[in-house]
Amino acid sequence: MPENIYEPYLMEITEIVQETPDTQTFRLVFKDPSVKENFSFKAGQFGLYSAFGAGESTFCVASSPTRKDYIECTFRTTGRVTSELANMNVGDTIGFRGPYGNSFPLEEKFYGKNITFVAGGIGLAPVRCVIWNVLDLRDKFKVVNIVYGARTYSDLTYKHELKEWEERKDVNLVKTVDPGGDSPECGCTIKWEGCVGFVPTVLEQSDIKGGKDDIAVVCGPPIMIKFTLPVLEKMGFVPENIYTTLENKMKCGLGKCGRCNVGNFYVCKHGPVISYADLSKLPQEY
Amino acid sequence: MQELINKAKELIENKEVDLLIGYQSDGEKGAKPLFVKNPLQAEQLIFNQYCLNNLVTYLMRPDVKACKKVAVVAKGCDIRALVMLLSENQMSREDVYIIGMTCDHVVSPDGTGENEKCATCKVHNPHLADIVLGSPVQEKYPKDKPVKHTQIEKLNAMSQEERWAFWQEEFSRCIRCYACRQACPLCYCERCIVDYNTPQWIDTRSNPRGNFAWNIVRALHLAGRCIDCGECERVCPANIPLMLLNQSLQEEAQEKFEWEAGYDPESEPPLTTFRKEDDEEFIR
Amino acid sequence: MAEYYITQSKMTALMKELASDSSMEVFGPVKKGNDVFISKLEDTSELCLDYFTTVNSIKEAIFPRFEPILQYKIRGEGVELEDLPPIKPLVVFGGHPCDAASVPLMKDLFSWDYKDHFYLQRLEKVVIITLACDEKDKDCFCTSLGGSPHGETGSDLLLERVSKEGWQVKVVSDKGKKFIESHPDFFRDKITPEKGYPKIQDKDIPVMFQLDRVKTWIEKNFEHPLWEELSSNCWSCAACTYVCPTCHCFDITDDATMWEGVRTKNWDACTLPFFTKHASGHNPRSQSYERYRQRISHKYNYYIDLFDHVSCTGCGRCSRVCKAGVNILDIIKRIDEESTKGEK
Repeated sequence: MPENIYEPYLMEITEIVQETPDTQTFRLVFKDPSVKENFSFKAGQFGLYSAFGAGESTFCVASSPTRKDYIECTFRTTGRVTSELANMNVGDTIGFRGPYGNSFPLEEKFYGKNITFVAGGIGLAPVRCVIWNVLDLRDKFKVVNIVYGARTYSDLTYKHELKEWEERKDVNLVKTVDPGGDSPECGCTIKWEGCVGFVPTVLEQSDIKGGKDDIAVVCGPPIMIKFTLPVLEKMGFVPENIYTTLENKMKCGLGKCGRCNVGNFYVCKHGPVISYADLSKLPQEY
Repeated sequence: MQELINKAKELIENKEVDLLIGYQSDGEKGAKPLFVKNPLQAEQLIFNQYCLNNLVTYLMRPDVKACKKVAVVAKGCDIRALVMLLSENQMSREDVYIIGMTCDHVVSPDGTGENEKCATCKVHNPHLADIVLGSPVQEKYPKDKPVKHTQIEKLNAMSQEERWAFWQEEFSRCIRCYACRQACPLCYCERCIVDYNTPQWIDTRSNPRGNFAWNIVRALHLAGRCIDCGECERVCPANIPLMLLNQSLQEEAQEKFEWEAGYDPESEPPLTTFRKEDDEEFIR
Repeated sequence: MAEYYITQSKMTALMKELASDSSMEVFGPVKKGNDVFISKLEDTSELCLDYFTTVNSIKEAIFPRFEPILQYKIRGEGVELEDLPPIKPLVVFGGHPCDAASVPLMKDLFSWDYKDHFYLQRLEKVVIITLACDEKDKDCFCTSLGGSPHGETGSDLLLERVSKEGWQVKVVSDKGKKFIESHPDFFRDKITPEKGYPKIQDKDIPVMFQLDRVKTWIEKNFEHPLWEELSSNCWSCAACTYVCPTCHCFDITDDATMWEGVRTKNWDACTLPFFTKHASGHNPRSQSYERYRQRISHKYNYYIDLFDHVSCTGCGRCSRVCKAGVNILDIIKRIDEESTKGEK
């Protein structure tokens, strides 16, 4: 029987974390032990996750490839498939097709460099896989900065991990919420000790240095990226070394359904990881 | 038609309208739509018996809606659609400049003869317009006489099994291109029922279930609203006799509510109006 | 290459015989109203052999309008994937060289890194019997893209009309050879073509634009106002896409009850308004001219970047079926004209 490229692996949900009121993280384990043994992927790649009966949805693999035995995904409830997924419980079965797409050029470009991660809201998910990949191989990199913010305290994803990163001596974490986002109405039951301000502003005001050899990884809502890129350039980063992940509507994830292309750049095949230098050459249709 | 070209140039030059939608020649294929934004383009405007397209369908397209004011070249049958758009509050009378064209009949360029709808036309002379061009045409069909569609008699004479088999055969060719929907001036929903997936009201696949659901639901959504322009059937690449569905429902509207859509801008469409004397036979 | 002769009546009889064999799927030309469509043949189907070209292409035989790619049962303990029905042998008769030429094009896409066995298996099992052209119209432009009314690319058997009663059969591939060998009674030795055949030659369809100039212009002029002007009539249906032999976009949907379901691959079109709409509501191509620009750019630019081949065979079906008056040949010619205006 020839391999059916549209057939997903069966996964069991082993853990569910409610990150924000509308965002969840699933930890998934391959049901087939031989797949579990041999599965590997690279940071930045994505997959298509099936809610059988509802359909498939595209999310990045949010866990680091250095952690075997499971993969994780983080998603916001937006439409039919994500609503179905959001109703699932630990022990339920979903599907996973992947890993698809390209990955962050860790070995080729990031080793031995200073890395600055900038993320907003749920945009932390595709960046988090690289963060843990870097932290799990910490001595291969120099300075590691993380700038992360969300609209409000309750919108911050991976709250436990923010704490972990903060406590580490080998990571410089700057966390922020938008003005007003630290109020009790916004779910902030603790005394907020991070910054208050938009991510691009907080980035600019931080003591993070940038240079032409330094790497930046950016992901977040389009408006955040729009204002962050000029700040990074002002700080000294060059477009060839600023990386982001492109997102577009997908169905097949393998270059056949003709839906996700931005010009001749197929997000599912040539992306989703792309440098800002390459992104500025693409037509504005994403 | 020099009068038309001159009027078009005048409207554009005076900035009375941002856009004028009319017809241009399409060689052997007769005529096709033309979007005029400057006086030079206006030189290509024509009007003849091959001007089949109902240009009113473009008025609800987002980029056209965004214009301050649009002029449209329209025959009586096209204006019926405009009347319905006004009745349904989709646009204001001031948003559009209607260039009404008198029309005796339209013809298919492949020479298959006068279009069926022209034999029962009551509006050879446009009934709502800012200006009427062309020589007056003798109205042949009495205004008060309900339009009789002879084509559906054959359908009505069939048994239920025969009708089911008939439509199974016809819908098997439906490829779900939605040309019928896009050409129809009254299909203006920003998000069509078939584009919802929570829940998936209509199967999007070109299978029997999906095709039956799509074509019948579309006809039902046009009940009491279809103005009989016949564009859906004309543009269907699969030659499906869609007007049989629409005309069957027009007959219902005529019988139950004495209603024919798109003639009188002041009249109230049956599906948006309640009258005490409405037929209640269906309540058992 | 080997050549035989077959009469129209023998061809009709052969198709009828194949259509009554339930172990295979047979597609051929059937008339409806004034037009002819490539349709799935039943043994009661009336074949039409007298036509210029079909409204649709042979595409739906090898790339069906919808097809199951996954079947599953949902149980308390989890999900069980089930086997799909096997792909049957196929015979497709009645397309023209512009149809057959699309087949190797589509193969490139469906084998790009990931092998779509649904398409590739069908391709392996199909016998494509092509009718060389006796006529052409203003919408034909196969020769501008390296094709020909007598082109053999993609066919297994190419039928050239050589008399009022029948065709010379050119055996183009091994599959074609095997087909003849398994139905010997229908084919005769080749005959001398009668006077007046073939009715048209390559030169009757003059080359109307230069493809490399067109591609370069498209590459460099994404934001050019000409796109909006050229596609202003387009009302964003999918008629052009669905009759096109090389258009391959699809959707993947699940159809299920609480206990079982099937996932299918269904035709979709980049021209439709919500093709690229995200669940968030954001739509990168919300205007009809943006979608039309994508269609042309994909066919005449991006596909060439990916596979070194234009994704169009010049069949003209899109122009014939479009009732909004959008004509792909006029558009490409206009782009070619624009490209000669120096600069850019």
